[in-house]
Amino acid sequence: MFFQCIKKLLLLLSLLSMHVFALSNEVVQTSTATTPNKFNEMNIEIIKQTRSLSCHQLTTSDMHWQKITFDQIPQNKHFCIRAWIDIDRSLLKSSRSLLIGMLGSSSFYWDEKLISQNGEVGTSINNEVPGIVTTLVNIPEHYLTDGKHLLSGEISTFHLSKKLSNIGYIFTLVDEQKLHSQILLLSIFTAIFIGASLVLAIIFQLIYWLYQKEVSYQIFSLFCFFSSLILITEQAKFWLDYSYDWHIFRLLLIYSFTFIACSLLPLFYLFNYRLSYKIHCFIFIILGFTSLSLSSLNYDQASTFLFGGALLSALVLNAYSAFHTHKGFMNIIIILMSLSLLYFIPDYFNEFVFSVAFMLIVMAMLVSLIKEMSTNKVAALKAERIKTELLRRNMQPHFLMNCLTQLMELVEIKPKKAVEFISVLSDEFRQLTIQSSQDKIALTEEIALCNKHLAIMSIRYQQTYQLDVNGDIAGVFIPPTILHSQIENCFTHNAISSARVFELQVTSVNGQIDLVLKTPIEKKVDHQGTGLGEQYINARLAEFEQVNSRHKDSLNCSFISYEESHYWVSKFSFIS
Amino acid sequence: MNIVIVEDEPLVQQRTQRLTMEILKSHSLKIQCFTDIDDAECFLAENTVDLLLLDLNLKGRNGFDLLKSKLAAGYHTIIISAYAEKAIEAFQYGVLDFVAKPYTLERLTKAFDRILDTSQRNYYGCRYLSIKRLGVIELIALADISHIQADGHYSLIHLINKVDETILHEKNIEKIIQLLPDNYLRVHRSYVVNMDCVKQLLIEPGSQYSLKLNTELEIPVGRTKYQDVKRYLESK
Repeated sequence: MFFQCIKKLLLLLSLLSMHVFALSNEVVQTSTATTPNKFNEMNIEIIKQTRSLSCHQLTTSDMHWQKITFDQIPQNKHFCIRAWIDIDRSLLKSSRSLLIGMLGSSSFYWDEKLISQNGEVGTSINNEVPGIVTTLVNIPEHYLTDGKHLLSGEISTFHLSKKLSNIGYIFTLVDEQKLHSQILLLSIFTAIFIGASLVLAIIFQLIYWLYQKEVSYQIFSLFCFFSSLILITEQAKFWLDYSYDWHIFRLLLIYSFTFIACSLLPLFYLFNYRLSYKIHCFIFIILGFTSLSLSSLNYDQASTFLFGGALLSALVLNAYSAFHTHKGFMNIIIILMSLSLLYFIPDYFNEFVFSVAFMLIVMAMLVSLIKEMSTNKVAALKAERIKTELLRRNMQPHFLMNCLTQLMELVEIKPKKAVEFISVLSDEFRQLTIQSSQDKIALTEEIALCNKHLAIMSIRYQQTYQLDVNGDIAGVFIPPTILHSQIENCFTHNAISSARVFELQVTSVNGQIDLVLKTPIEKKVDHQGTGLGEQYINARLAEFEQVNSRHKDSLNCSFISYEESHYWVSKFSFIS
Repeated sequence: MNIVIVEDEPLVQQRTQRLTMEILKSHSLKIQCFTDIDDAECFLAENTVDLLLLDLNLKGRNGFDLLKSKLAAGYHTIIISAYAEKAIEAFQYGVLDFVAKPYTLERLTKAFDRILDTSQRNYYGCRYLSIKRLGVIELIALADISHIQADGHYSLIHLINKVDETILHEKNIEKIIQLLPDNYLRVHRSYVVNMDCVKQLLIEPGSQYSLKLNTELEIPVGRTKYQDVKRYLESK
């Protein structure tokens, strides 16, 4: 079901991506053959302060000027560019605007007439007022006559704090309406992703704080939050007219968010799969990412590599998990899809590819999370069920009915003894109810509960049953009612007629606590160890392990039981 | 009357014994108490016992296997148990009564009434007779039985589809009929017939009556039982 959805989504996305690339191909300037209504090579001259230059005059000879394409414009310079364009009205379907995307202040002229003023061109950082990055300049209809036209611009680029690979992004005549609809298409898609990620981030914060403090929920929430931040800052170029001196800051911001999101991805799987050596793995991955950041790649390339690295490490972790648990094959497929998307679409860090890949990954993470939540829920329900079942076993009809039969006799024959019996019985029930609801209790309390049960049984069978405790029991905490359950079991499975001994041995060596409980076997009625009692103990131990592991270091609990020379031996170990 | 009580809790054992003596005080009683069915086994094998009052752990299969072996014996068994939810199953195998714990004097009196008044029938749906054949306990479905014939202290069970074969039951015919439902009729001093297998009532000269069964066998009908048989067949 989910897989089909993904397939449909991919199909839709591939259609969308065709649109977007159509846009990119048209917008990115081509500078080969002389085609009407397109700029070809332009001529450039650096303006030296010593001599003035008639940059915009048609008569100025620019034949000997250096020839460049727009993406080669120099940094930290004051210069003039001139470009000649052939206008063919018959091919120009609608009114055209000039789309300029660059890091610099500029003033542009169309046939010696000023058409655009962006910031204030200066001769140094002191007298230059930085312009905004992307400008759309309307060229009046009557300027666009058939024939050769001169577009000239005076540009200064002094507000660049860092050397960039290129600062001229786009310089072309566009159809303004078409451009807007294409940008809208792209924006809608990214906006959906941003919205979805933010909602997921909020939902999982709520889940983390109000439902279950599982680390992977928190990581997922942060991952969603940072991936939406990446896209918000990416999209800033469409909705925020910031001046170009902020551009490097924006790139840095995008890169930082990418770094964080890409670190969170493998971290998520480390926690989600509860793998060991989490810290080691994470440090290793972070070191890899940091060395990537220090390399001489530009921001976009570095981001792409970061994302690729994150996907690769997620792939390795998933493969590792799939190898050991035979789960998570779907994740591998989705990660491979994202990787191939990144590899086969030959554009550098493109927010469209980015959002599709991120969306796939978010889906995969979401599926693992929901699966985990459902298993957690099942486990919790099961533990709860066993807990109530055990409680019922103590207050169940059979136990109660047997006690009541006894009470009837006592009431008729020895009413004083009846009162005594009722008080012991209610004591045990009360303590059992209190203890069953806790995660852990002191061993002394557990022993008290066992003694209460033995007291009841002593009255019922007119014997003296006793629990002999050896070892230091102070300060030892155990899951509640595990010893009690075994003692109870002993009476269900045996008719203990003679005064046999119940024994508890407590040893504590190097943080390992061992409890050995020996209960007598008189006549084995049924095989022990398949019943509800042992299931209950194992559920209790698992819960104890989880609760303690969350508070401090990991804790290992183990429980085995076996028959040994007319005793049933139950061995509990707690290793912290 | 020889009664055996099996109960592992001393005070409950004391109660059962006390109440039994109180209810049956007009009878000459011999009561033997055991805490364990295994301990009682020896006594049950060597003595003629009329009634077994048994507390049985009916959790799991073992309890029921043990119960079936008691039900194949010549004495009646009354279960006294906290496992009230097992009563229906116990009745199916042929216990005379099932007394759920905790029990009162009144409830135990009712159970003993079933021993004393042999005309009372089992209304709780006995579906099987437990028998012991070659040392193995088997269950015979009541629907498979055509008739039961008295044989001294024992009974011979005749099956519908095995005409030549009879099965010996250790209970006498009076005890067996107490366990059987209404469609089993005592038609003769020595015969109990499954009325579902009757083909027709034959009247022979000299006021001699007999029942022709589906298996073509003819079972004599006692002179005093004739009216009962006729009434039963007409009401059907």
